[in-house]
Amino acid sequence: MSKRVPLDRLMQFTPTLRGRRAFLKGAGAVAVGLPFLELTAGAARAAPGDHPQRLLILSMGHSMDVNGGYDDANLLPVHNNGVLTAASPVLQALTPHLDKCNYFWGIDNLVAQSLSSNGHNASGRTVLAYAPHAGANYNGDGSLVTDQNGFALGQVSAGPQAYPTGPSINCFLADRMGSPRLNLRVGGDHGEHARDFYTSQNGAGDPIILRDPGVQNPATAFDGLFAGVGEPVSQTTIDRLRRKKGSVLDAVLGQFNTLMNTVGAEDRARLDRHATHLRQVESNLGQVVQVTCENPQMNFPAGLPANDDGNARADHLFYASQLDVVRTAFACQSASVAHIHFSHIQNNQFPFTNGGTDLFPTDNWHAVVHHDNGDGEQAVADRLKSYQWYAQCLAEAISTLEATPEGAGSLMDNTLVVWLSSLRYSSHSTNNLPVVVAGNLQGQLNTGRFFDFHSHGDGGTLGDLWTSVANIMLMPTLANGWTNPVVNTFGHNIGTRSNGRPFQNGPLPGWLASS
Amino acid sequence: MNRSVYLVMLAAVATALPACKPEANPFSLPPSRLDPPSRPVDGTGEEPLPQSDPTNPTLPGNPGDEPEAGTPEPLPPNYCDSLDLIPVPQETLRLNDLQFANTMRALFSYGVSLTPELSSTVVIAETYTTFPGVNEVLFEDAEDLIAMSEGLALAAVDNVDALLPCSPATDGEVACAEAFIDTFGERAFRRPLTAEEHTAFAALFDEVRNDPTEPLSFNESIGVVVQGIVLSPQVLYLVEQGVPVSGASEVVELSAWELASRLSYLFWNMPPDEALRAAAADGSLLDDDVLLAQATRLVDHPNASPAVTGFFAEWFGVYGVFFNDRVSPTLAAAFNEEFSRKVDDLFRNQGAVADLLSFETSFVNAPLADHYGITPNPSTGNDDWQPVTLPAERRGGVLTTAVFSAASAHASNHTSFVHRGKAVRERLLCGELGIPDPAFLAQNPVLPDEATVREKIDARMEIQPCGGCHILMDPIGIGMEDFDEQGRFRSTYPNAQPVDANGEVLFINSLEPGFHGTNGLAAKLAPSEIFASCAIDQWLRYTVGRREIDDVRCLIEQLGERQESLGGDLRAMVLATVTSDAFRYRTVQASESP
Repeated sequence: MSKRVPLDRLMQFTPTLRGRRAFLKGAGAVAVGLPFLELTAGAARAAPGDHPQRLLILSMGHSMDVNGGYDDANLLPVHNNGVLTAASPVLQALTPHLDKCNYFWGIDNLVAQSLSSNGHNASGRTVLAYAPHAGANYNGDGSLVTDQNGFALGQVSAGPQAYPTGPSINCFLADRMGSPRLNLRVGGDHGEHARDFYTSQNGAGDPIILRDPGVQNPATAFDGLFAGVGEPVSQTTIDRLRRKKGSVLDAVLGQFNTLMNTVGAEDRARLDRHATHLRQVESNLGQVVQVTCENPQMNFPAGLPANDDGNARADHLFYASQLDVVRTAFACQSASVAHIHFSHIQNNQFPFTNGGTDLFPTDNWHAVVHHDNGDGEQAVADRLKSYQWYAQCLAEAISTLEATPEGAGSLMDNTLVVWLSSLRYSSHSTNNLPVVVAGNLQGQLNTGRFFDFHSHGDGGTLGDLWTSVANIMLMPTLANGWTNPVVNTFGHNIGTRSNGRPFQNGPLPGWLASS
Repeated sequence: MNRSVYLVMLAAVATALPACKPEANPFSLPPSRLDPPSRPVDGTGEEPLPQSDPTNPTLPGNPGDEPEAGTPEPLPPNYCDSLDLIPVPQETLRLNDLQFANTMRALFSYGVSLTPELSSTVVIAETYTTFPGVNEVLFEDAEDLIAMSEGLALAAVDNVDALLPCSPATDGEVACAEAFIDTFGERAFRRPLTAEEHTAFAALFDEVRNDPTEPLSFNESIGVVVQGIVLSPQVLYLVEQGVPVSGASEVVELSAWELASRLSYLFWNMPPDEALRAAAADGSLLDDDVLLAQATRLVDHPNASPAVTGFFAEWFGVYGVFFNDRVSPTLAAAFNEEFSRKVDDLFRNQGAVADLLSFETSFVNAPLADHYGITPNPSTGNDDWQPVTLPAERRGGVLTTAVFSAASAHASNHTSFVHRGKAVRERLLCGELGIPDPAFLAQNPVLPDEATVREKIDARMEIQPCGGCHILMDPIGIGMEDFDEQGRFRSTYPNAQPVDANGEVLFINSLEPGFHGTNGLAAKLAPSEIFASCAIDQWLRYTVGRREIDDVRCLIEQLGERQESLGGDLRAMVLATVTSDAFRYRTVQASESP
């Protein structure tokens, strides 16, 4: 569970929503009065401009192979000599944000490839921690003992010894930056699959692993950060009515759904666009949001159910809500590290991508991502649509952070957003993971780049990525390149695979603007 | 009136203008949020056009060559008579902003402030404000709708007594709330609620009234229900489920309630009044005679003036066009007001379609009289409008009004023979030109400033693919150069060059091409079959909210005959539509579940 923040760290706040036009007309359009509040602890470095740096990780646990056959064309963005020029079909939602993003091509999870569990457990347990599990055999120098096939010896598949020896990047950085572990998920607690994405050590050298399933209910997450703070709830009539907007929108969207079932395709599409905009307004997406840190209350989207139905039918609402929690926590400096994991793995239906109709009414999502439903035209189209939604989530995160003023800029100026999945191809492959990172931290990082590690030498590893991220967040300065990294743990101490390929090569070259 | 001549002419035009088919090589479709599908240049939607080839020397625009005559594909004998129905493949229309605002005001008798007002309807050339594509609800519109609905809900809380058909104290809260849902819902949805709809809103009332954490008062709960109903799609959209037609699975007949809404919004821009609702409730509106009688009642009522004159303003391209940047606000308002007054006058006094291009009297106030150089009654003030006989040079009807001249001029305040020619070709002759690919702008000839207008036109005609389309516009537009960008008659330009107003309407076989001046053009078009039929075509597009209409040739013929039987004037033209198949039936969309 999320840490409860001590009361003296809490700030009263209201995510006061204003229409884009009204906000821009306002005298204080950018001069938002956010009191600067120091982080309570940790080594977090303020970005230029005296605002703390933040990290948001969006993770998925499924492959992203649209048409089978190791399909890269649908995923990889177009670039010209390493400069992104166009989004791919999967990433099309990022089109307006390309200049703020990097695509890292050729990031491999070598640790997962050393563990002989089923493909999902190994990849899920290691994607954020990038550490072999405790039961494996280690040499005296800490390196992993592997057989001739590269698999770790001594490994077990269940129990405490089956989990990584190191913390996940989000927990590691939250602890080091003095942030509560804002671990959130979109979807149910699907046992190990969800929990495995959150691992941490209780203390230095302590091998005990804390597995955290993440908070599924955004209200709970919010309360965990801000409970007990705030002004008395307004009792004006308009505020009382507004607090029922969820019920109103439920009823209205119900009317849309009923109507859409009776009209033709063109009308249905038009009504769906209308309904989507209503949802978006209520989800605060696309709006400039002035966070005044007063009178704590959240503004969750209409129709947000109390619990998910196990079929991801409300993932869009849960995601919007969790994103709002993150936005608020970042804006009010109550957390600087957050992670949202998409935990549904079995019967994802994505009706919100498909005019309200289930996208895979006859197919199990797990089977879909393994292409058990084939690569026919419809299957490919539906699979693409589902993957596009996850990219849309990244785009919404960027837009949301951009729409939240901070100083003379926005939260996005001080936030790194990492988007990745633990699998790449349909066969449990953990090579060439889908990795997009957005944000330049006040110009300290290069963006708009296509980093090709796939085609060079030992390629890139997850260890390289997390080592880079950790140092970006923790190094005293990024002005001198990678000359003085302060973190070297992710995959560094476990040696090389049997083929001689290192689990970690060091921070990724070319990312820092100063490099 | 025999429309066959017109139909043959349309077909001839289609084959004569291959270079201007929008999807043809030199042109692209207009970049608009409507993104309308292409429509053949004749407006008939029937004949396939030959592919254009800018390099083909036989195409228009190559001096000395005659356009290919082409052979219009005739309809099979008695084809139109063989059709049992001529329905329109109609999408669901949406109330435009004006209609929605009127609907809200009609729903709340105690007077409401619509803040913010919905501002979503886009005025785009070649479309009407009735088209679904110009009435999309975008994100900011959704914001406005929600904000507006909050205000309406709040006002409802304070005015519940005016909304309720019952008393919660004596009838019981639940019973009264449900009665309210039925009565208010019927007026909002413009038909009785279905059982499912009733249940949904009753559940909403119950949910907020009995919320265990924060129950609302009865009045507040009614306010929430008001908000829910107002935001429902059945209010904003003219949902027409229709009734299946025996023996025609692809067609539905509109219900009496749906016809009532169509009629009311078409002629009043308002929801149905009590009389229409009664005719819908007892089903009598399904009878053609009753339908026509109700339509006549609406048309003859003063409430019809804004809607009817609004159509004509859209048709002539002067709707929503303001000229405050060019002339004083007072004069700019007078430009628009003259149009509305004159068209309404024609409509209510047996004016014919031809009269739109030939009226000899109009209305002016003092600023407009001064602008036109007319001596008004000495007592005429800025707000006093009086009928006047127009001077001889200003008897080309709408084409010689200030509002048309200004609307078809460049924003930089000089005339455009291209815009004027295009307006005539597309709006009055129902041709379609598309817009040029911007890449071709670089081929625009650069001539010295002192070059005459005709030299500029001739230079462009020499260039392909430009000339292929401009030959359809520019020779018309130059003939209208005798009116400046503010609608003032002129015989010389500011640089003292004489105005050469000799124009031509090319490639319409039934029209002798040559004319002199705007009056001459109007005199040529006013009595023509092609203009009269184009008027019907435009009204049909406005009525059904789309351009692509199957069997439009048959529909126009049918409507023309009906117009004649109703008196043949403008009023007859609009009334003729309501009992047509296009108004009473529609085809079922793909994947629709009637």
